[in-house]
Amino acid sequence: MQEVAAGPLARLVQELLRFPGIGPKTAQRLAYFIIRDPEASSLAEAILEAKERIIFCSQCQNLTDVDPCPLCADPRRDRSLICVVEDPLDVLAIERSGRYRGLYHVLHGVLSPMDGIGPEDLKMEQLLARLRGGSVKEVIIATNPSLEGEATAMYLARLLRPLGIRITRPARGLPMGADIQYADEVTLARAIEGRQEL
Amino acid sequence: MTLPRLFKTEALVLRHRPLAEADRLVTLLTPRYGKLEVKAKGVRRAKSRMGGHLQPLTRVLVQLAQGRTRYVVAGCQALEGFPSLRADLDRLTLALYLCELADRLLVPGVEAQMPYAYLLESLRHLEEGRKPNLWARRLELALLRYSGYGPELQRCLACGRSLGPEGGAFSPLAGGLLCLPCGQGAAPISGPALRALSLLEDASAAELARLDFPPSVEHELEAHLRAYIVHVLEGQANTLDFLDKLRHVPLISGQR
Repeated sequence: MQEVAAGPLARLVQELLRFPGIGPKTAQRLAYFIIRDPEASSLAEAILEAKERIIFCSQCQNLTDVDPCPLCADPRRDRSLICVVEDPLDVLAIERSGRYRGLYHVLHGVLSPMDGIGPEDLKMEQLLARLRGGSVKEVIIATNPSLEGEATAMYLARLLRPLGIRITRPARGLPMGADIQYADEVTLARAIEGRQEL
Repeated sequence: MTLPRLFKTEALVLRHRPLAEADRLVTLLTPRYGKLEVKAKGVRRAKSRMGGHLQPLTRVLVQLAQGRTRYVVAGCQALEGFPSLRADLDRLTLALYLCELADRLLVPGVEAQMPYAYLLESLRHLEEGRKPNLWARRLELALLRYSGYGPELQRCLACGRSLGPEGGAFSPLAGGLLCLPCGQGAAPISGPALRALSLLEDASAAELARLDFPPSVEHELEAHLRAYIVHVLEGQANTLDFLDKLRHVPLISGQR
């Protein structure tokens, strides 16, 4: 298709192909939609604006257009509590729960020894610098309950233990709506271990 | 090897990587069909029934169905999860290194009964925390041998002389051992380390469980085999960089 498409269109398809989860067919569909869409220029402007204005918050390393970000600047947040997450989207997910009132720290990834992603590729130094301030009492390591997430949590726990801060991990168990018969043995074992009185 | 359109097999999950919105590409090592890269649909969703079963370092029973471009996981059940291994960062990283080595040395789609049995046995010993380094060295040698890169461990590769307690030299470039006169400039290997290499290759699992090498010999074996594997892979395994960080780099200044 790229051969018969006009030069700029072929370039657009190539650019869209770089996005995660976008294959050649989807890239073509999106490219043709953009060409036909009268509002497409506002998408281009939004991309440019986001690229120009979005920065890392100097405290939590989340993506923001003001520094510090609204969450870090909010005086009602509990500053003795930091929740460490892998990704900015995890902040949104935890905020949706409405139960957490502390601050965040976004690592922007997880340790993946097999893929060569080490501690220096994540925002760990920035976390250490924040914790050395001494006002934080507890760090919740909320990386995903995957092998890489667990490895990152263990590494962080080893890194932070000498600072004398309480280190916790969100409870693990069965998600709402799940079937016990389909749960894997690790999840089920942790769910039983972490049982609570009704 | 021609695979059936739909089949069930036992497998070890070697690694996974994200694919599209909620899928994963999972690399499996199966005894009969060897290494397979399959697609697991929707496993990154919290409510996925298979996600927890398809984590690396899990022995699973999988049902695979032929898809358009690759096999797709149609069903999966975890058989062994190595929970204690997952709770110890050093042993976990060593186990991941062994999986990476299997992934990089084994050819896809070629029967792998022996490497499968050796990897499973090594993971079980790592799970129990028994001589993890010794089992790692044994698996390194076994995987090298199986993939056709096994080093010469009996005779000098230059003059053919048998090597004994006097030791010799170990040269990844030459493909294994050299005697002292032929191996000028290559890394020296002591007599006890030479004997240990032979034992690691020849001893049964039960015999190996009774073996114990001094730390100096263990270090020597690790250094020689690492150099050899770097030569074979044309680079260091990614996991080893992280393992080195865990062992040697102070996490916080003053802490080791």
